[in-house]
Amino acid sequence: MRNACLSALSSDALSLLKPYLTETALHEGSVLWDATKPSSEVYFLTSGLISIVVPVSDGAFVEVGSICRQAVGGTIFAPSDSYTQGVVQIGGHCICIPAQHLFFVAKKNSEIENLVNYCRDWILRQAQQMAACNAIHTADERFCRWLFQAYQRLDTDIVAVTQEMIASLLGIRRTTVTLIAQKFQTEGIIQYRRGKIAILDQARLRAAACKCCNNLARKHWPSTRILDANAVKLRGQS
Amino acid sequence: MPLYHFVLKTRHDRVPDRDGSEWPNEAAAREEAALVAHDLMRNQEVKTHTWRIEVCDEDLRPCSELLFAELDESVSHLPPELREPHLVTSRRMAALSDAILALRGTLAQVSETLSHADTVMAAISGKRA
Repeated sequence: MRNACLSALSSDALSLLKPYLTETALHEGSVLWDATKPSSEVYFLTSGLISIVVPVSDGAFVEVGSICRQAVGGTIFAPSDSYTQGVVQIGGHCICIPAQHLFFVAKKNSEIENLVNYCRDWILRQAQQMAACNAIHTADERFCRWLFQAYQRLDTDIVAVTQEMIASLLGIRRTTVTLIAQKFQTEGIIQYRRGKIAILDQARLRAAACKCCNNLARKHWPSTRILDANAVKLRGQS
Repeated sequence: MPLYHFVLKTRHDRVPDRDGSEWPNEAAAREEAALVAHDLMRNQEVKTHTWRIEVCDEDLRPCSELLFAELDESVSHLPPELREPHLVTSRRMAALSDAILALRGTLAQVSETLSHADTVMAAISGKRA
C-alpha cells in the first residue's frame, strides 16, 4: 500500500522528492513528536494511524486530529514549536522526508507546495471540527464518528483498536466506551473482540455518528485535493 | 480487587458491561458509575434524566443505582421546590420504563410459548391424522 498523497503527485513532482524519501516502520504506542522532542521529519503514512493529541493532565490527552495514508504527519508546520504529540495508535509503515527538504522542494514546485498547504489545511480543519465536536456532540456520536473515520481512512472493516485507546482519545471513561460498544454490538452495527472492532453495518454506523463526518469527508482529504488540482490543471492544458 | 459490573438503563434498553472491571470497593465503583453517567449525559442532559447506571457485584447482584437526573449539575442551581418534583418525575419515569421493559419481556415469553405450543399441537394433529 502506498501513501495516497505521493501516489496523487505527477511523476515530475514525485521525482523531486524521491532522493530524500526513506521507509520506516511505525510501532504502536510510539511517540513521534512532542513538545520536548520536536520532529524534524514529515511522515507519509503507507499504513497505520497517527493520532495528534493534546496532553491535558495526569498523563491524559485528547485527540485533535489523526493522520492515515491520505495525509502527512510530523513537522508540516515550520518552524516547529508544537505542543501536540504525535502518537502511533495503529502500527504500520511510513515514508519519511526531512522537513527542510520538503519545504525546499515546495518553494520550487507548485504541486509540492499545494501538497504542503493541503496537509496543513487538513490538520487545522480537523482541529477546528474536533473543538466543535467535543463541545456539542454526545459520547455515542463521537465514538461512532471516530470509528467511521478510522474505517474510511484505513479502508478496512476491522479496526485494531482497544476500548482504552478510544476512551483516551475521546477523553471519556473506558467503562463509557464499553457500554457504548456493547449497545452498538447488540444492535448489530459493530462486533468487538480482543482489541479489534469489526464494522458490520457501516451505513448505520455513519447514521449514528455526528455530522462532523461530513465536514471531514473524503473530498477534504489532502490526497483528493491534489488529484482534483491536477485534474483541473490537465483540463486547462488541453 | 473485587469485580463490579455496570448496567446502563435507558428508556428502551438495558446495556450490561459484560466483562466488568475491578474496583477497590463499592464506593469506588459508584464513583466510576457517576463519571460514566457524566460522560453519557454530556450534551444530552434533559434526554437522559431518566437513565440510570446500576452497579452490580461479580455475581451480578445489584449494589446500587444512580439516577442521571440526580447527578446533573446543570439543574443543581434550581431551588428545592423545583428540583425535587423534577427528580420525583424522573424516578417515576424510570420506574415506568422498567415496567414497560418487563412487560415486553413477558410478552416475548408468552409469544415464544404460544409458538412452541403451536408446533406441539401441529405435531399431535399430524400423528392423529
